[in-house]
Amino acid sequence: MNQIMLAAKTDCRSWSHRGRAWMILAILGAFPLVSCLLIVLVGLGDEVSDVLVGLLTGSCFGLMIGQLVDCFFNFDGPEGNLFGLMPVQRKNQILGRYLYLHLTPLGMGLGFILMVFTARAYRNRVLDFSGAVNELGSIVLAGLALLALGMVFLDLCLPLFYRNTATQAMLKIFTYAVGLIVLGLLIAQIPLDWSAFLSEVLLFFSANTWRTMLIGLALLVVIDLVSKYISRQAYLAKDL
Amino acid sequence: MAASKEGFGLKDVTLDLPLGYIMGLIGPNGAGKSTLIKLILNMIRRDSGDIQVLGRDNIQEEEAIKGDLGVVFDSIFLNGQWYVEAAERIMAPFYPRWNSRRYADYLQRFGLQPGQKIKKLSRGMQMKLMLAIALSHDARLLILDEPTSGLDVLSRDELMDILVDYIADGRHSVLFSTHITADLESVADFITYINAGSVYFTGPKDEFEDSFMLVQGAHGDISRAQESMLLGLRAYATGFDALIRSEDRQTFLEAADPAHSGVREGRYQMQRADFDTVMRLTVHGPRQLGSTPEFHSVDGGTASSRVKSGASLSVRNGHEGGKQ
Repeated sequence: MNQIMLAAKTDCRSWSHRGRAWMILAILGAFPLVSCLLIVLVGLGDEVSDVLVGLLTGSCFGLMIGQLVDCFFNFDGPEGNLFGLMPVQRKNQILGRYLYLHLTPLGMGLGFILMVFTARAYRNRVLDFSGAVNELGSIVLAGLALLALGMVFLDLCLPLFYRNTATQAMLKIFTYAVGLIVLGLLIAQIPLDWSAFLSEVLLFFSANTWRTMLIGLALLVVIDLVSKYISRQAYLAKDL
Repeated sequence: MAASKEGFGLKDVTLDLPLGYIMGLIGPNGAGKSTLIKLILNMIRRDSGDIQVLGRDNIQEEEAIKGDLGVVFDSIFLNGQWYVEAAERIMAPFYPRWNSRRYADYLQRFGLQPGQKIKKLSRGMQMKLMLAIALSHDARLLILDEPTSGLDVLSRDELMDILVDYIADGRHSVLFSTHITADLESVADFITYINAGSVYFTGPKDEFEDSFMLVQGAHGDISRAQESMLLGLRAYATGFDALIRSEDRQTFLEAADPAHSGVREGRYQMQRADFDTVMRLTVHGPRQLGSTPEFHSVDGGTASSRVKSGASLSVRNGHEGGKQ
């Protein structure tokens, strides 16, 4: 566990040009905290709050891509030698990197919960704490869904980065994204009542929150484990 | 040569390096020096065999071994965007015996400023930064992979002085890979010469220097009997350079073809072969030394030299398909 934490801290430190681990945490925490302050002090309305939440989500996904590129861009060059000489086994380096990268979706989820709760509690500078608490369950669920979305995104991307160079991995992600859109368009051509189908799906998931959460959690764990396994196999076979 | 389409093969290798000594790892480009170092560090996959470093398996006890190693690569392993001060923050947590005071002393000695960006440092200064890191955690074994290529003579001399100081207490050793053999003449105690993925020689430097003779003679003035003694040959339009074992000197002279030249005295020029000469003459189609009990044995690509027992670096491995 110490080795995994050490590897994660190394990645955190690497993010800062001066080797300061707290920089990434400061970056992650700054946006939600400043937004909350704005909501409380300036009294932003629902629309502005929604924009801020959108900005948080977008910037966090941008940060995830930036972190991925930063972690792997020089991985195959002389700077990759650092990972060969550091006294941390490769399997622990992988777990540390997953831990480090998953900090961002965690920050995104928590930031979302904090910002939306604050926005609900201080809607138009009118304190409505009990109203916000009533909505807390759905806010937390949405935050957790955002966290899961970020984790799945990273879990899908990371094995590509361990298997390929950073440039190749980015190209593949782009190709897969385009492929997904094309696939979606093709599926949409199937003569089916899509709105009814989607309503059925939504009804199934909204009927029982705990069942939905359990299914989501199980899927997340499976995706995460498979992702780690593929990354591990790729990294163990990789020549640095 | 054990090369294939997939890449490069490193055959059985054993080197013993006692504490308090410097071993020079020499060989031409592509001989396998960097591959050997990367195998020790488990940076490239090995297909078979085992590697013992400081008496421990390099994979089973990877973390403990790497904690005892200091490594200087030929290129900086730190992100060029980092500042020098970041190097300590990132590297120090890996090593329980990290000494911040010693690191600061080295930075001062090398003229490195904490506020400098690593990519702005010259190659020599980058090497010094890696050296400062390697020396600041009391590494028992310092591994240097071509650290002097691209350095000026003053920086190289400074590096040699640092290495000599480092091993002076008898608790540390240095494995120094280079193809600039002049660096080793003053500081190395042992030499391991790797050629085409095999150890050609490993042993004390003095023995290496006493073991080989350069023979120069007129074009074609080599008999069949003499040819069998050659470890390497390079022919020119006007003559040849050949490498023989020192102990074969007399036999070589006696085996000369009397029909070719009437005068035996002064027929050949013979002198002790230096590192470069040995490499130059053995690099193409090497004839490995025969197995002789008092000599460092090299048999079928396996070399072994046990100079002194004790804490040592021993490497035994089989590797194929790695990158060079």
